[in-house]
Amino acid sequence: MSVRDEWKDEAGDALSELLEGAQRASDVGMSEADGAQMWERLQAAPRRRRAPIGWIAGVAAALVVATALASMRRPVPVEIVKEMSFESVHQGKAVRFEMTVYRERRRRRTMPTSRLFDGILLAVVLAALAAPARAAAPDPLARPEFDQDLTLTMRGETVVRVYDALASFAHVPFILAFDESDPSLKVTFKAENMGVRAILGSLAKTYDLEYTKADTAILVTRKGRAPTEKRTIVGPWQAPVPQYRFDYVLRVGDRVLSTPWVTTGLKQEVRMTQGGQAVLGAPEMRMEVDLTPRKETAEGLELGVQWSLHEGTTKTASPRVKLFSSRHLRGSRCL
Amino acid sequence: MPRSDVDHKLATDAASGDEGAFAAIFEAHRHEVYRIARAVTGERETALDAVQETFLKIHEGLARFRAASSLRTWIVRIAVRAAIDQRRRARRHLTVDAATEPSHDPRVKMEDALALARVQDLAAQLPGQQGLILRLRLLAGLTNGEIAKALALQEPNVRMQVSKAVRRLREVL
Repeated sequence: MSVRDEWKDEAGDALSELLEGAQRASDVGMSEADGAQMWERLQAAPRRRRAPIGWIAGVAAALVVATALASMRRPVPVEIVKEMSFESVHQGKAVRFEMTVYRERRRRRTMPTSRLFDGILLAVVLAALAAPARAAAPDPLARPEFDQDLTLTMRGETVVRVYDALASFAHVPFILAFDESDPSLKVTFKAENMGVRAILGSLAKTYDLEYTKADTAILVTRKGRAPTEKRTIVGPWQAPVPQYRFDYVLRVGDRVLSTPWVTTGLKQEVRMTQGGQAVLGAPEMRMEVDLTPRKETAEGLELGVQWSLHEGTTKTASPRVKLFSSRHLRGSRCL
Repeated sequence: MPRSDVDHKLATDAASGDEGAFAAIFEAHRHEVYRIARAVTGERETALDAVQETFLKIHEGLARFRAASSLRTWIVRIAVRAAIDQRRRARRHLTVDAATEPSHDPRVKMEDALALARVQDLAAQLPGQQGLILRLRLLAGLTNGEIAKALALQEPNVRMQVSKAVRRLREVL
């Protein structure tokens, strides 16, 4: 019995079998590919620590490697569209960033890799050239929330999901108003002690996006294009209009059936649907209440209310009769 | 030449900038460092980060290495500490994993990979340092003495913790 197996007496058969399997899996050391990659990383890292010029050379080398990698045909199940990575030491903290944008090979390509990559590179170059001319415009990313350093790892995510994570971290909502030219594009990245602003900058360059301040949020659009009608809002969204909460009590006689509630704001019509059975075994009933905000007052939001009652597919009562034409319900402001 | 002299010469050469010597150290110890990191962190990516951190620390510390202990013992100690740090960091920082680990290592049988995952889960439920000690003992293959040195514990204490951990796992199973 080896020193590693001295526990066997205490383990019993079932646990021994489990532990032996785990040991066999653990006995596999670092793969050759990982070993080669690790050696490259090690060779680069100490040089960068020694001199700032090394850091610049490293970034340049990484870009050259990224260019070469992106233009290569790779015998892997995914197609790498763009890779970038760098690391440095800033104020005693290691800052690392690696990002890979790829698409799964089984998806149909919308644009040849090299052309897409050329397009991205061209966009980056044009953005760099155009930067001085636009320097006077306020930087929408110049916010203290983006000064924070972030350590984040994401694998195989869409760009929307990445913005969602960044928005949650920075507590800044993003309005994503751009068409995903290739929804099959996925991003994998690992940031360590990286500034949120720098990550946003990298994403914008990679996906050819630009940022505009939109009240408390950041509007993200395709560079040089108008915002799309379809928008996705991510992050801690504050409603642009005040929201009101209405609480109801549905009764049959003295019996309370339910106490639903709904929130709405001016210009936001809302339908509340309540299902149930008046008597056990009776057909399912459904009540629909349409709320139409009229105006905001000091006391709250005034609503017009229409309701209808349905039994199965048959409307059985008050087909869209306005019950409260001269009266209004009032709700209390909740946001 | 005795092993300790070879190690000392490699360390001295690497410290003076001989990349070939450092490459030899890397090649000789990378598998064990990875096994330790993988056992402690339980996750490949985090383990690779820990391996990188380990060898960066080795590179930085080579000039201070004295042949009081063997090069391997010194490296194991650094590897264990780097892996613990990396595991702590990975837990503390926001991590969004879209998928679980990619596919399992093709060099490992599926049932063994599942056994490893199960053992990692069970070890995570053990109190105090028992889980860590169990991982280092059974998965990384370190001796009680090596674990004791790396964690600054007494060797009998480590032996007792391993025994307790195994008994507890048996109860859970």
